[in-house]
Amino acid sequence: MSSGTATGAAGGPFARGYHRLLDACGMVAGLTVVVLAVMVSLDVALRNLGLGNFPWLLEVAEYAIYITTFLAAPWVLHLGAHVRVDLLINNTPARFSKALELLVGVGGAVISGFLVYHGTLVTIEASHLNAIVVKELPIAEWLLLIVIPLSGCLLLLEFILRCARVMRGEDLVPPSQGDG
Amino acid sequence: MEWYWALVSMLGLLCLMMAAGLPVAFAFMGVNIVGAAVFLGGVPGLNQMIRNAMEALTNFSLAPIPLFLFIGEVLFHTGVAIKAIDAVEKLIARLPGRLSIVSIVGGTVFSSLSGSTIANTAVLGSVLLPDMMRRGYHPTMAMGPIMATGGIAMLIPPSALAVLLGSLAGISISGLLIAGIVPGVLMSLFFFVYVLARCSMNPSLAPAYEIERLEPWQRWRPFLIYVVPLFLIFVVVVGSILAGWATPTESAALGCVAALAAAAAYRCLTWGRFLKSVRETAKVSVMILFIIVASVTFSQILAFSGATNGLLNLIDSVGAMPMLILLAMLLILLLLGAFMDQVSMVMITLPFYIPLAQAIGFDLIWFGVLMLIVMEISFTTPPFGLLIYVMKGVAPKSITLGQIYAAAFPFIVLELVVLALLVAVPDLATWLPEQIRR
Repeated sequence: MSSGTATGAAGGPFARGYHRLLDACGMVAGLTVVVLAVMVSLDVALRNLGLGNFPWLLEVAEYAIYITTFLAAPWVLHLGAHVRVDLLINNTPARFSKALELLVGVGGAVISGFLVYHGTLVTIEASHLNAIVVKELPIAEWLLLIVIPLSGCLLLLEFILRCARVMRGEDLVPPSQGDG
Repeated sequence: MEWYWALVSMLGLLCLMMAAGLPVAFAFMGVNIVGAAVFLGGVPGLNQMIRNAMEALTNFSLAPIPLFLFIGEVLFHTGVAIKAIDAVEKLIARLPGRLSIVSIVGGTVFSSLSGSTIANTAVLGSVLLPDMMRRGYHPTMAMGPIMATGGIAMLIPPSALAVLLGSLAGISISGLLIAGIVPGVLMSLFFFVYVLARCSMNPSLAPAYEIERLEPWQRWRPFLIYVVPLFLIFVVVVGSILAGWATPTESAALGCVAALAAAAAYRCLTWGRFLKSVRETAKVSVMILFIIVASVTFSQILAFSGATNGLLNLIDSVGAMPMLILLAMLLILLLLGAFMDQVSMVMITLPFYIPLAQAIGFDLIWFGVLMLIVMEISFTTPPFGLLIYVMKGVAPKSITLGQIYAAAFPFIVLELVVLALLVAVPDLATWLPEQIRR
């Protein structure tokens, strides 16, 4: 959890709930890797012992990687762990770098807004068309696509909060979490 | 729009967004939004971009990325890797530059167990660097070998970046993983000889010190207990592929279970350390995978705008020698590597490099290994070498970035020598996979 005075984590129930939600997304993404490792290993063992296998596992693994990546991306952004080139920001006068950080926040918010808007459009379209992704497991396409606008909402919120932090002159990375 | 304007505007906008400090995943998405609006037919193109984002990640061959990273994080955070490096240190007795040699041998061993260059560098840096500095090692001899050997993790399997490259380029992942072994070991050997030679000629670089006198059994015992059993992880990962029991993705999963079992067997696996490993794995793998979200659309835009074909036709019309083209490709990659991360380098160059390599008739596994070596070099090239910053994070506060750059330099030269050797003798990369195919 963020100790987060810099990020507002110490604030009201909304801030605490928001941070818990992001942390939960990150933990789910990590635990999914462990579950995949165990399930795939079991699958290999069963197959090589001639005891059958889990035919749906490959597909579930694909969806799991996709869903957890999108859901945990806002958490990674919150930690300041999305890789970026910070040469210019780190080597310019404070006023300029602050303006640049603000620009980055606005740019990121616009891109996230795109994910929300077009993600929603595509999800609604898939729902109206009753589009089904048919592989081993038939699954409604909208159930998969909806992850993108949901992730976009959290990314948008995080970029807006980043802009607010820049305006208030606070640290962008939570002090207890940006260690990696 | 002419193809060259499309190319310049796309890459120019990308560089601008990256230079401004936008996280690279979002910079790629931003360029994709503009590119899709212009070249993919407006709203339908933008909607297609959303579907492409899903398509880019629903790919089982990407699964080894988080799995290989998890192996490294488990060994790092449970302290198993630290015990292994301590054991290597006990084994290596009186040698010039002893601790630098320990970092090279220990780092190479850890490379065969971990798929994460960051974990490799962090573990070596946190274990060995304080001791080296305390004993008066010159920063070049202290930090250089750690960063250089840290990067070998991406050549010797398990390697998350080899999987990424193989998956995006359509190169055999198992072939690429196996092909990295000989160049990785060769590089390690070069570092070893260099440190030995430099410290023999100039002992002040790594002052000799009295080491505890141990009986042979006392020196070998920790190695047999803490290092040899760990090779089972390498055997599980590589052996299961070679034996045909598992695909590369499945072997990565087996490696994770083996790493957890090893940590449990050494009684190092606590709930807290497990969660820390899980968290760090999620952080790094989501960061990598989120950049890949933009890969499909980025390639489509370059293709639809005519940029890919235009550039390939231009190179074809120049009629340059294949070797010259190869050198130009590697040089461009080196330049990109000085300013951006490895995933971005791959995303930008692959749409051009793979068709070009195929047209010229390069062996794609060999070409992939060359790309991996350049990517490894770029981990330590200023100003944006990732391992430079990992080292800065674990080094004492008094160490400046300039000192870290200088420490990396001789090893960059050695890596370039290995790269040149591989260009001249492709068998160094292709021999092992070919033997295994037979």
